[in-house]
Amino acid sequence: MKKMLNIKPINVLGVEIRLGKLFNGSKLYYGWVTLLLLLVLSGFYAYYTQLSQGFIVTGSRNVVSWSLYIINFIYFVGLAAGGLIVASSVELFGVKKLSPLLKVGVIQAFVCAVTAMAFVTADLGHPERFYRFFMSPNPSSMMFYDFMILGGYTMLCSVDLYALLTNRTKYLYPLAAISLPAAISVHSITGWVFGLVKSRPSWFSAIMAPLFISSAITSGLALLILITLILPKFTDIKFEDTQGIVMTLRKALTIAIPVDVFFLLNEILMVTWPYASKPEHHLGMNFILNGPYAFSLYGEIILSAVIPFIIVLHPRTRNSIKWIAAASVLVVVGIFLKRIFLVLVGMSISPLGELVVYIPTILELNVMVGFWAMAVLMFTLMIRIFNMDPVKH
Amino acid sequence: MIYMDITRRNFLKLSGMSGAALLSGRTLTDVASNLPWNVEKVGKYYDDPAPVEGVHYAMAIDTQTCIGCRRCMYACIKENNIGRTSGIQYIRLLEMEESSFDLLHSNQYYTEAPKEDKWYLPAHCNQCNNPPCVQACPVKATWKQDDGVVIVDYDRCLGCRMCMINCPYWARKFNWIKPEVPEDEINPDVPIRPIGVVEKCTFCLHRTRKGLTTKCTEVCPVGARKFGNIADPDSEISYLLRTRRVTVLKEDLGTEPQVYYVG
Repeated sequence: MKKMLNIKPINVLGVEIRLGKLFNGSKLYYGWVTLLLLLVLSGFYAYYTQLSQGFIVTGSRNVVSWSLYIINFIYFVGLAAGGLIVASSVELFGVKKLSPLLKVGVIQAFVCAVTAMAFVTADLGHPERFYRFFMSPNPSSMMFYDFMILGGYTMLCSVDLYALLTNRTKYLYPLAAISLPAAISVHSITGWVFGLVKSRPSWFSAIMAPLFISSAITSGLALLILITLILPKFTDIKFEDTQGIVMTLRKALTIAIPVDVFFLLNEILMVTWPYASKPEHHLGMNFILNGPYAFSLYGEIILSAVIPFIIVLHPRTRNSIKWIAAASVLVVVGIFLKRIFLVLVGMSISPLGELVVYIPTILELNVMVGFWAMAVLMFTLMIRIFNMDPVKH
Repeated sequence: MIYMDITRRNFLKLSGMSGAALLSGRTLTDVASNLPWNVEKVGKYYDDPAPVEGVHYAMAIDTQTCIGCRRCMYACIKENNIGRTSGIQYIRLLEMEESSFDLLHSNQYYTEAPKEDKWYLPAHCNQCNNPPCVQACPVKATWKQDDGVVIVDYDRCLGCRMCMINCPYWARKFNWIKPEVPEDEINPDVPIRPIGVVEKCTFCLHRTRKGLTTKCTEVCPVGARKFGNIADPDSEISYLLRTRRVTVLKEDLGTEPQVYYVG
């Protein structure tokens, strides 16, 4: 039994892949991977049911035609930001304190981008016609650019990771110079998919892309803080100066949160101020101000803005790892709530004035949990098989 | 190697997808007809009958005459092979408040008509001259034909619903289930849509391109609809648009609708 487990690492183009570590772990590791695998399988089964019976099994209908999958899509596109933005700022702005996070950040970006693609694929009625993007692309469709940039972004993450794993440090600066604008544009374009829709007045706003970016950076940073704190607890990956890393990220969070809130307040002001508000705005906003989705708006403001902002500013809490961890959890949850109302505020009111409340089905939630588990599983396995020692400059 | 890796990943994804399609009860012929080199060969409903040259279709609806009976809506469902359980209607009847053109406060679920203090607005695809749905489709699966009809190629549609979201008239609907049409009620001139694609009003191109009028115009008991060719200055509809005061829905969006409301 012991012999079988002793698989030698293989070397693929200079990248050491430690396959042995996949089958060589604690009981906790096996339990974790088994749990994730079960969730992934149940999610895939749910997706298969959706493929065979149609989207009728989801809660979307002709009014709310984009729902849970698109919420998750923009959420994961957002999480993909933090990793790459942090990784590229190490090179571009010389934030040397964060250099132990280079590999982790890029892996986070890669995994989240792949998961975002999985979610948007799950939202297609005919995923097998994907090749159409290459056969008859429509340059006037923002959706087309969104698919292209997402694919390109994923490839860029793989190239970044390859350079990091093979220690090609001289390529890191130029790669970072491409990665940062790519991270910004992938989120802008996703924001424009919504912001350019003139038939849904609640979306039709120039603030959409900035708002998407600010939320992306906020949630991405918070997730990176959590990963930084979790990894040393459960894996061999150790950081020399966890406190220093977390505090640097906290500083970034201190700027990101108020910017995010400012953008949101701009939009809310536009649509609620007495002489600025239009009737269609009014109807849409009623849904999230005091209607069925009010939980997501107020939840978002409290969880991902008010409480974490107090924590990262207050002298008693801002230097405590535990408090910062709590703030990060709140931000990651809160930004998900924000994605919920960002999508549903535009969707819930049809252009002909019909109001529809969207409630996800169990099956849809099952697909979502399955894809989440897939993301965590990918991350778990990737940090195991790759050499995660810090890059030497 | 990184490229090989990507290719392998793509290959796995692709085989996974085709596997899923196979397993999911779509028949082998379905999958085969969806292959890139086969899609173009399938006979297209929008080419047969083909657009007539020098024709541009438009419709005028008289809201003063419309009694909100929904006969056009039901006839349209039968004529166009719309799945009876799909929850799709190309035409929606809006019950409007007196002295108001506010779509947001209209009622689509009235049970009695006509009422003294209401008026009725039939809403459907406006076959816009500047269609946001066409511009929003990422894969050019929908376009405007020469005679002004915006059509969807059901063999190319990805089912991403981008067009539905960008339509200001809520004219596009998605096939959430496989359309069910009773055997004896199938209209052989209209293809039955596959599951998971978007469909919309075609101005009954299978009728109008042969010289007939649309089904909704034909069944209207009060003659509230006029359909015709606005490229011909002598046509009835051209005369109507010249001599009557008309309006279009959401003119401020710049979509240039081809369905005009008289009233």
